[in-house]
Amino acid sequence: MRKIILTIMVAFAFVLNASAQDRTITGRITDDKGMPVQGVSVVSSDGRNGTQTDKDGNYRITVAGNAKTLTFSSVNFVTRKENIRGNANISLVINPKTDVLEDIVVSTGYGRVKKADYTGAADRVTRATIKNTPVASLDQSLQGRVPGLTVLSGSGQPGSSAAVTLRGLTSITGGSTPLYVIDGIPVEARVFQSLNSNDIESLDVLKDAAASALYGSRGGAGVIVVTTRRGTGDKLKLSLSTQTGITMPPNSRYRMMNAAELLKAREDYALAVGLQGSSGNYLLFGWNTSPKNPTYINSTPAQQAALNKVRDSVLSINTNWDDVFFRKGAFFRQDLVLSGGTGKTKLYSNFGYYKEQGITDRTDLKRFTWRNNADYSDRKLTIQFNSTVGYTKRNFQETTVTNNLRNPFLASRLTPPTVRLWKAGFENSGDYLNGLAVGTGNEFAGANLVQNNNINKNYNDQVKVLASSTVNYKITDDITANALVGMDYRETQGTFFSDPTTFYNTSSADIRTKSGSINENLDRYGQYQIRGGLTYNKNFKGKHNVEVSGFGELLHAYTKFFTVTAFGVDARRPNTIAGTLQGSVQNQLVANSGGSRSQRAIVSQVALGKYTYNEKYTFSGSYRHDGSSQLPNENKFKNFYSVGAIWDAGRENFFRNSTFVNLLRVRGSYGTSANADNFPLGDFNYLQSYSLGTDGSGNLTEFLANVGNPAANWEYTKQLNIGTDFSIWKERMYGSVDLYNKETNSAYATQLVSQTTGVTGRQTNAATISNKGIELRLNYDFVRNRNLRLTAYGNASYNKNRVTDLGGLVDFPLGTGLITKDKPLGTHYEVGWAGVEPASGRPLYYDKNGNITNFYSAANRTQNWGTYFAPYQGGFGTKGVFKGFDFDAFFSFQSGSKRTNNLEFFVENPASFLASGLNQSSTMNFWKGPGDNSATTQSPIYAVNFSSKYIQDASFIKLKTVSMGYTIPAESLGKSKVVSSLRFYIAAQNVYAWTKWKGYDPEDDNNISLSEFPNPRTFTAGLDISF
Amino acid sequence: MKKSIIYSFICCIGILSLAGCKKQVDLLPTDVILPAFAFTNVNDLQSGLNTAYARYDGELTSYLNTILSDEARLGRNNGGQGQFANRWQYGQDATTGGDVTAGWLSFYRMIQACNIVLDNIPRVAVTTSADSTKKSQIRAQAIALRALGLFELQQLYAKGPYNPANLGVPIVTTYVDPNTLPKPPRNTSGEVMNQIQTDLTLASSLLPAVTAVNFTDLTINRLNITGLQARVALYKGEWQKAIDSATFVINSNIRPLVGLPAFADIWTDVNITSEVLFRIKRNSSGSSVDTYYTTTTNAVYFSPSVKLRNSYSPGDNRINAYIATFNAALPNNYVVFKYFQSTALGGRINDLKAMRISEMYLIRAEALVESTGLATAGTADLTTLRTARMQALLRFCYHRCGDSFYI
Repeated sequence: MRKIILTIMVAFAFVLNASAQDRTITGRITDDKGMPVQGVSVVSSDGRNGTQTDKDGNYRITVAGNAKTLTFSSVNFVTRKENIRGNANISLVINPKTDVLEDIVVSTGYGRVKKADYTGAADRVTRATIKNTPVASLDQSLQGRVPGLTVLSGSGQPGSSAAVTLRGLTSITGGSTPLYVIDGIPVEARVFQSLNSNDIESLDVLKDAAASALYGSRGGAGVIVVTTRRGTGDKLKLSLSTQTGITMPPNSRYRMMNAAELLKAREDYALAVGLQGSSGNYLLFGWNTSPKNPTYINSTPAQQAALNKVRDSVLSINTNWDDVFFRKGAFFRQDLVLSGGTGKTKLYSNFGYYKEQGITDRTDLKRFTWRNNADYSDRKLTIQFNSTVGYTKRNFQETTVTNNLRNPFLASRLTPPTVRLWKAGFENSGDYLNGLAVGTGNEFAGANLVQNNNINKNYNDQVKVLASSTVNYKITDDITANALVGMDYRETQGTFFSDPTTFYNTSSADIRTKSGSINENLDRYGQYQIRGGLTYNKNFKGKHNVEVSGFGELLHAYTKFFTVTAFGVDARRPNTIAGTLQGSVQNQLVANSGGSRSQRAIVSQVALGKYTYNEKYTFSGSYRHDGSSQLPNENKFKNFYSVGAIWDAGRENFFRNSTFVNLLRVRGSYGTSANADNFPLGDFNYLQSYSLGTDGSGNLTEFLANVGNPAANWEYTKQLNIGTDFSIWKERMYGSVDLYNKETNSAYATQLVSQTTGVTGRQTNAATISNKGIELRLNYDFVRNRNLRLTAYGNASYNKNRVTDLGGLVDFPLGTGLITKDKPLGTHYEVGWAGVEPASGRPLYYDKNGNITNFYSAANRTQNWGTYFAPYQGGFGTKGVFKGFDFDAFFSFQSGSKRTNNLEFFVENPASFLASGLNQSSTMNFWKGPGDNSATTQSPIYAVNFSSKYIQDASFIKLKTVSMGYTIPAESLGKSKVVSSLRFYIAAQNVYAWTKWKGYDPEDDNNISLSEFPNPRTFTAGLDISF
Repeated sequence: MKKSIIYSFICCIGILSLAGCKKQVDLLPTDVILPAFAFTNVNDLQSGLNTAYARYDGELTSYLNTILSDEARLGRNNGGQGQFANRWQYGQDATTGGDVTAGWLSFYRMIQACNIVLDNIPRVAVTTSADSTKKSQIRAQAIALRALGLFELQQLYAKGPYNPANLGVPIVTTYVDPNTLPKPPRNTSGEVMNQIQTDLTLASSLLPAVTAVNFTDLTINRLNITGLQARVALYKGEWQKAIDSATFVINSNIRPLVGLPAFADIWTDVNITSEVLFRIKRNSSGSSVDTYYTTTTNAVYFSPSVKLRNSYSPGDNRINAYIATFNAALPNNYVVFKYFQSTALGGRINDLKAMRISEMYLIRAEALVESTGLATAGTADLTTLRTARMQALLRFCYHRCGDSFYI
């Protein structure tokens, strides 16, 4: 855009043909911290002369005598215009851009639009926010940063991606993940582990129809446009960024019983259920040696002494399983950036290395990334090349996200402290094969898992290549042709090696498991996109600006997966598929294999239009015609549109001279979109199809696998957005407010059909889901002077999600819930808990009508327990700069989320878990006898059932990041100029969470805690140097 | 240079904007079989028929009859399994009445598999006479299995005792696309039973006579169709037909009654050559009795009822074959021993015994009593059964039950 203006200016200059005396002006440009700013473009008002500042911020420009002003502009700073007025030296401070201010542009993936002309709701997260965040998946750093953007981490395993949702859930059976667009090309969502977040310049979160309609059938869940860094400056500059630190486990918030407490609990259990005498059962060890046991009482003093001795020896074991399973992980990150350019070309190159160890053994991530971005531009032609190659290796445990004693986050809770990890004589020998106290039974869960972790392996290697190129060519002054070609290619190769020597395998009855196994799998995603278009942009009479574009594009994505598990591991050749046996009928070690292939394509024609009158009123519109392979012929081609308007009221005369209002814009948009990337029917499920299987004799069976839906259509989302951006009090306070009403029609719902057809239901476009909400963003600069700048910032949003219509269908079950009209998605469907009956210790429940009953029945489930998807969320913080020091503390929060605490069901469960030898939480308080009014859990003679007791408040406020840094002043770096800038910092991530939730982490991407890998606390220190 | 770039752009846009791009989005899946290719030869039909066999959930009928009757009581580890059915409490929605309503889906799924095969039979061309015979036999089996599925539905969901005017269950004789949202009306019990009998007669006529050589209990054949006809006739109260059919099966002597050691071994699938007229193979991935009563981790969901246990008179040692005490430390911890023992298939999985010869004796005895009105008319058959079982049981226990478990 600037180039066009420049060109126009140049043209004018020739017309005027000024001939006044040339003169030279010099100066130094610094930022608000007093640091020199390199690469600021300095242009005279006649447009004939221009230069850039050097690395010390100095410039020297020769201008014509009649030039009135100089314009100073740079990508990240607010443009300033200064009158020359005969000055020979103009030095000034330029301020970093804040996102509501004039020059900010919104990247839509189809171009860049000045915020003043953008009719939609967009929030920008800049490099300053996400750089050096110690997470390997960039989406993890977005929590609380954007109003309306819910970011929930389902796993703290290094490299795991987060569940990102924009303005509420919009699909019942599909997903709600936004479309990610990186440098113009849509990419595979939720696969970011091989991308370096330090390469990112900005993320534009486009929330409403102005953007989603632009992406038509793919924009329904919102769009996140990622722009990577590009070369800056006038010569190549080397920068080095190093960060190192540790990751630590968070507080589990259940203090598990120690040996003495567990033995006491077992004694209480035995008394409560009325056990007599002794039992050889280890489960009741605390009872066998209990002085309250009649067998003990009736024993001789010598026998009692022997029992006491046994008891004392067990008490002395007291293994702390947290110490066994959890560790402090190492964190290290290094970026080597080469950035710069001369004249028409610019280059950005970053070689990055990232290493993060998880908080439990065998979990880590190592990554190499290499990004190369190059730019060429002349008067007519601009070309951008963007490419990144990433290689990631991740190590996993067998499971860290399921309810399984092979999950260390559960095993550490449930393994009793009364057993040893090592056999006597092998303590800390490191002999994981022979030295561990492994065995069959719950009490060996810990040792078995430690053995598994140290002998088996589970890892994957990922290669990701993202490459795109855009070309713009000005055919005439008004018409620009443009083209984009891009690809996203990713291969993940996973391996799971199960050694035959582990107890898990040696104790198995299955001959194949016993023999050891190795699974190798390959998961590939490939996608290419081509787009061509024309843009017409013309300004009439200085007041009417018209821009019209047309594009045609094609996108084709392929997926492929295959997996093979081979058996019969040769102990001398572990961890390679070459070390397995060829299966045969005789050895019964026949390998398992499987896989899949699929593809989808979208062809589109897009038209965009924008009209601006007098820089005050802008009207925009988009139209998109999408053809998709994912729908049957009758619905293959569909149209999407949007309209929008923005009024820059701040430019009106009545505000022009206002000292209070600096900026005020009112905008609105409306449009339609669909959600192809989260489509409930996937690539081909609209088709009826058959599959093959085997029967009990091993004979082939062929059966109808999918009934299809010949009338399948998209889930259409219509959205209205009304918002305002403002800046008041000399730009001290600025922010935005948005109101939206989003309605998703024809959402897929399960239509129950007559089972005489042989199926229970079909997926059909029937339901309507409504998301209405308000979003607020506010920044306030408390102090803003040369030495000190102190800003408070925050955002909050409320989203009301409802299934407003089921299209005449009856409520239908989905997972543990029941999809019901007028309830939010994610609503729990559970039996109400009414406490413990003091007289009998019986559990009490509520029936459907709210009456108390001691009868547990799934028929009494109700929906009075809230939803897991929080309606309120946001983030706030404060940051400041004092001379060279900077600090930033940021909190994220969510409120109104209710989740099922499955861990509590396990750790406060006398009837099943205590009785089967597992450890329990010190918070467990089961009924001990008649009149026990304080019991929170029933008598052990009654089984524990799932009830509303376990649905708990998962609201939280997290101190998400806190950082402090010091930038050495340029003057102190000496005259040598070897180092041009230097910053030290310390930072912490996930420092603390304020929550009522019990368990590791209130944050999760689903409705129930399955002892998922919690987000680690990370403490880092770093150094950024530029040469 | 400039011109070529411009032309490239124009071409690019032109190509993309053309309606010819429709071809780009006409993609077909590679990993599934589309209906047009689903059944192209006799082997495909056989695979479709195998589905129908595998879907015959006779275990469910047996389980439901057990927990709905007084034969079973809640086991000590029951965490809700089958509790609704056990209490005769049927919810209106699928989430609370599952055990009882499961059969509705299960048997119509079986019928769906039969109908898909039958619908496709005319579309499969055969060239050899061997294929032609095979196709005809597949048709016969599909028809008979459909009748069997329909009969299970009729027994579970129609009002009894049989009255032709009562409402029965809907008859479905062709695959109906659920996308058409069909709501088939209930047929009368008379119509349902006629359909079943017509189908069985037709199926029987398409199959060769059974000999000791060609008999296998793993498929539908003329012998077990005759057994089914006996069952159906008994249900309808056609006593003479029931007697004739049962007698035919008994007299064929292809699977005679056996004594206890052999009989007990059929429940662990150690013995697969005795007694059973129709059997469905199961494995660990199919439906099986497996964990209905006792899980592989020995959690007891259902125990034999006290009433059932008390009905064995003292000295009747059959109780030891069917009912066992598990973990004597816990009160009333009885298990259904018939489906308790580990099998070669893993866990407590064993093949479905869909029809046994002993049933024919019982059908004949009952039909004799009903047709003659004499309470003693069926005594001979019952005595035959008892003689085969009870005496042998003692032998069985002397040589198998050496441990203290058996008193």
